[in-house]
Amino acid sequence: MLVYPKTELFNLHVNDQADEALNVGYITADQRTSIKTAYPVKLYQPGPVAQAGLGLLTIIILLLSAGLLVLVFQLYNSISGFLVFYGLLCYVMLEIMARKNHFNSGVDNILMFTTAWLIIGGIGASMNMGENGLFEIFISLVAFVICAFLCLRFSDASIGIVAILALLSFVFFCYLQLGSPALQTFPFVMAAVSGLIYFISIRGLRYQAALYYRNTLKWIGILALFTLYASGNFHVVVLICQHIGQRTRSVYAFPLPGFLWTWTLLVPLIYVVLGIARKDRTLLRVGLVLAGVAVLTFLQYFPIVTAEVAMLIAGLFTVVSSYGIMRYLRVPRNGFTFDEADDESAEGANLEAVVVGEAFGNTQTVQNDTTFGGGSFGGAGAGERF
Amino acid sequence: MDIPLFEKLHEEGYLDREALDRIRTENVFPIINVRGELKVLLYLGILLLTTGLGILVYKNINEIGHLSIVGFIALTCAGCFAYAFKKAAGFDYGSVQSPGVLFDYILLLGCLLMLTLVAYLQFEFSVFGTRWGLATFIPMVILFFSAYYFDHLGVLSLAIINLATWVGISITPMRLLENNNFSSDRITFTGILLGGTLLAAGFLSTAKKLKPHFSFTYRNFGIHLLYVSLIAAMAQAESLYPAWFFAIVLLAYFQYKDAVRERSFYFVLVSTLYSYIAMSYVILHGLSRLMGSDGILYLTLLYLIGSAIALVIFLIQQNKRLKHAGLS
Repeated sequence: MLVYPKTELFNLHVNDQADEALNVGYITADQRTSIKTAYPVKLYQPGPVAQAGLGLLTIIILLLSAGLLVLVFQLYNSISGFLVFYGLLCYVMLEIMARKNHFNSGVDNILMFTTAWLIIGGIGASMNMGENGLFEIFISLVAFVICAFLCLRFSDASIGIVAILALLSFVFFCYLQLGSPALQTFPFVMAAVSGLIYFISIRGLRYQAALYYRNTLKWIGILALFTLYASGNFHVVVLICQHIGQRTRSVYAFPLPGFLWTWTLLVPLIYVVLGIARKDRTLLRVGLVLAGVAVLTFLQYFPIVTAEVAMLIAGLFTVVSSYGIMRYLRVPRNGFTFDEADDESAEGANLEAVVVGEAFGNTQTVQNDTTFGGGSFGGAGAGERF
Repeated sequence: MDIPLFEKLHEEGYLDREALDRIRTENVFPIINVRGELKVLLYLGILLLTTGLGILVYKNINEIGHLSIVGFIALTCAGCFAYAFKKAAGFDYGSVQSPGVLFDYILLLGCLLMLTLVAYLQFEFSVFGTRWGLATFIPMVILFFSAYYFDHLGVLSLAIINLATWVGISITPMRLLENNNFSSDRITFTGILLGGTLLAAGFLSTAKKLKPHFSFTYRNFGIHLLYVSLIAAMAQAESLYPAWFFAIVLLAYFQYKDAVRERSFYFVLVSTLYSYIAMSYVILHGLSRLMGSDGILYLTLLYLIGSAIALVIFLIQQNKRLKHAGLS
């Protein structure tokens, strides 16, 4: 199934493990070098800068080529057919690039997504199944099949995430066909499906057979944690109910708001506690992000303080607690530490400088009618008017 | 970590027993370094705090009073700088290790408050009168001093942005095009001068070993500003655009050589993309004069597609070349 030689993917895994072991100081640089020499990787995997540049150029090439084909062959009246045809053409290019050992080079990523969207879009544009929900079921199934195939063929985590989202959509729309009972229970079903996906992805990581899809399984696991939370998040369920109400031209509200609020506020906490207990960095990070989401959800429906006061309190709390934890963990405790010894690389420092400039530098204004010595003032941070 | 894999590597002789035991112990008793997570939270907290405080002050300006606000900002700013001076290791021509995570954020906070204070004093009390230049010049000098004395790249970014503001240009990366009117000759020539100055500052930082790690920040701002200004000048010039194109080619040549020497694919990419834009302008400009409107569209599309594919191949080759140069 895999387009890449399994040896290459295995060697890539060995190299990644060696890098990880070196970063935490468990092996020496010489040992890492000898491992890399013994397990060479021929796959072309450029860094993020090259990926972004190559990906951007690929998008430009694909758009212009599509435009040229439409102009030359006058394909204005057969868009759906053209989309599928062009999608298949992109797939052929993708296979060629994969055989040239492009693996997350930017070019193959863009070709992969273009293939998926064009074929799915082409099929979707040719269908007319009315408004009874069958179209959503069909298209989400098509999307799942196509994306799952691409994920298994090219071992790509991002298209794997799209496949899982398509699967969840398929389950959701199928379940809604059950009518009224479905409307009252869909959060539980979606949460159960998300939980099952998370469980399978975590279990899958333990098997050698899934070695070539480790990265995909890891990211699917992360996605499942988010969708598990979203299944019971109050705001998400309200939005879905509003959408269902618009489709059925009725007003619908989920009957157990108390359960939803409990889920909204408690699940992030559970993630954080489990992350600390199991020393699971993924659970911890997802829990912290969702804790912020929980607070925002709460404030949206219960605006007990104004936005600026909420920001002030949240900022104060975050600064004090994170600084406190930093001081507490200067000595490793309970499997956690705050160690500044191996601080950021030069690339990280340079990137941080650019981010600081972008975040705090763009509120300054310029007076164009003066020469040197111009600028209204060098304000930054707060606005230019008080 | 994949323990069976490391056991296999040990059997094959690539790992000694000690390393394998360390990895096994780590797997049973992992130590998680939460440095990254806590730094992000700290940064987020400071951002929320300063934004919330700013909005709160703005909305309640009449109740709080200008003097109280100025006093509060001045005191906090002074406190931040006092902390920074107390904790700082002192000036060094090379890189200086930061005393701690909080130091960086407090210094940044102090600099931002200083900018806000000067702006506030000028806007509310006209401290500098009509001498608007002073209101940008003084903060700029303080920022450059702080960046060099405390060795802070973020403050250097702010200093460079203030320098650009002082000369009349907005240089923030994502808004370079929308905040400046490059159809104005003054802006274009100022941009060329400033961009060249920043590139020269970057070069001198490395050559004279005066904070060589500041070089990237100078060059990053300089290269984008210079290229955009040169391309704008080329687009505005009627008969003289070959001269501007030649200047762009010259700049690209020297930047490319420099980037290859430093094995920086980022600057190779930037130089290549800007040169491509300039070259495409010249070619399409020439084509539009030679051909009528019917043929020009198809030829333009064919040129753009073909040249973009050639560019992709070129960049992949350069990337592989730089990677191998780095490994050898």
